Amino acid sequence: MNLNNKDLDRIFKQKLGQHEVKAPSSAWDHVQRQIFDKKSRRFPWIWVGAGTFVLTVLAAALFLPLNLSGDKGEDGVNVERSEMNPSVGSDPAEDLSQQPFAEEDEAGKEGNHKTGLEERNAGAGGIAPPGQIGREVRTQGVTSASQQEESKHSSVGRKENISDLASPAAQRNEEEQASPSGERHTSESFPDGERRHGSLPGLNASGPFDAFTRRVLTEEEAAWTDPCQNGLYQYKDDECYSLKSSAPIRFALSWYYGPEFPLRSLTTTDPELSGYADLRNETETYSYAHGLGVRASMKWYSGLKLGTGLHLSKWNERFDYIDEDAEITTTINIIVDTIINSPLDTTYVIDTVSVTKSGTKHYRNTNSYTFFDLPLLIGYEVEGKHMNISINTGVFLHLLFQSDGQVLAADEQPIRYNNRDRTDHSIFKSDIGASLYTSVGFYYKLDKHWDFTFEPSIKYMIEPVTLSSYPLDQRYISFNLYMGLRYRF
Amino acid sequence: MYALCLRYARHQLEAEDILQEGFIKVFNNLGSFEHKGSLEGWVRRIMINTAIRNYHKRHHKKEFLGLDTVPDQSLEPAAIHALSEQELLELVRDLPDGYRMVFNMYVIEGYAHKEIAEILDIGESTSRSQLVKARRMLRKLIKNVQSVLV
Repeated sequence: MNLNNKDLDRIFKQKLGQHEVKAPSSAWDHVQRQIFDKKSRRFPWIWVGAGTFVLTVLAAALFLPLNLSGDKGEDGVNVERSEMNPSVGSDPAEDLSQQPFAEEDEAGKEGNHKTGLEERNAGAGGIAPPGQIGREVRTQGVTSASQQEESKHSSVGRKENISDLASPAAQRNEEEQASPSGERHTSESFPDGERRHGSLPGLNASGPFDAFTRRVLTEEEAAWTDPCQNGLYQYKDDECYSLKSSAPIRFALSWYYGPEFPLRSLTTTDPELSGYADLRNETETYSYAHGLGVRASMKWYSGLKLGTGLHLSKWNERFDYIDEDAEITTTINIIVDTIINSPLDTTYVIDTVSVTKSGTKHYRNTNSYTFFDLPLLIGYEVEGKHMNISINTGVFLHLLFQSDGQVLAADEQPIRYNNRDRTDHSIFKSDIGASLYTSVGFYYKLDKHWDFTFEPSIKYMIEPVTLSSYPLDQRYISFNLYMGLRYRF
Repeated sequence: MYALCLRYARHQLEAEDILQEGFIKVFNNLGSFEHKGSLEGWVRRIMINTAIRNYHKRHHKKEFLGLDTVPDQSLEPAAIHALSEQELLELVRDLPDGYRMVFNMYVIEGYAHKEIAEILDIGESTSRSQLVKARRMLRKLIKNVQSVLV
């Protein structure tokens, strides 16, 4: 009895469908190793690094710049304090605000003046500053000569820790007592009434003078007509503070572009593969590479600076290979038989004829590697008359990496690769970690804000760009010459 | 699963590669398993897809040999029943790539010719003819084994 096709298929399915063979232990070792490698690479150290950097920048921005002008107090905190004095202005808003202040003389003594101040300052749109140390409280009342004299003697004593500030009422009482004439100086005591800074007799002050800071005010500073404006900020203890800093951060934004010269190394621990590495080096050569980016930086007067931004690099290599033993196979299908299994099921028996020709085949391709990076840099910049020079170092976090091209495989056959398309041969990673970066920056000053920048740099790739399953480690170190413009704010 | 890989692979090393690659996919995508079918079926499907992908990676067209000269031979049922699973597996692995792929997918996995044609990027009629030729060749191989045993 002849076995028909259905029975043949059924027997194979029965016997092989659930048939199991024990896999060699080496296969499981490979699986375990590859999974373990992948898991270990998944630690989000890129984001940990980026987070640390951002926190450092924020911490520096919050604490370093607030070193205020003026003499230092005993605890090194620069605080100048003054009474919150009402103003009498023609501004309707000020007129509205006069009523609470009009009641202040009496109410203040009774300890109720604070409510009036709060109402008034709320009307002035005061902004509460952060409660850091180092706030400057500026005099808002017109001072008499006696007050000015008093302030000369007590200027040191007036610089005190903000935590020791007395209540506004107590301050006013203190000032009233300090005046020999006992006269209470308010804006109403002066004809102009609207200005809370007076000129100091005996000093050649050419403009409005701040009795407590003992300096001529700028036009802008003197122009304010209401407390807590023009850079002064209302705080919860009803004082007005200036956050003016004597050591501010300078921010800058730069744009750059330039050639890059990546040097490649192909290494292997297997001596038998050194020939393969040589073959790859022979068939792939540097073509051209370039990078561009934008970078924001903040610099302190000390010269320390931090920078970050975005960077894009594209490297191109030429693949050139002549296969002298190439075979081109053409397949031709010919229907040689027709089997009618049922009225609706016909099987055509097709003869497959393959014709193979031997010859020389020339492969040419441009291989590209594209990097999209987040630079995290720290540096030191020296100011010059015409040019600044800085030394920078840090890391480039490779956020994206794309590779596309053609190389020789270990069996010396050309293969195409693309790390975004896993159906092709997998050679390159998509996550390549970070590179170390160091550079020297030259900033030629074009005018008050603009610099021409020239930055030679070196970038060293920490990890190979190739997968651990690929027999060679492919790494790069690149030399870069970036040129561009920088705008200093 | 290793037996499945052996069925699709040309040799043991290739089967191990498929097994490794397949299991790495399984572990990496375990979270995407939706519990709609059996885990075994899901793993099995991944292994088959890996094997098919491995087949695509090779220049398989070179291996479409003109084997139409193999005559269709009659076969006694007892002849195939006498063979063990391992021997049948060896016979399948002796098939040329194209025959082996179609035979495995159609006979063991239960794919339709239309599906096989789409997956392997061949014509549906080619899939049918490959199956016919695979059966003919298997009959011949079984006969050969039988004659050796006798």
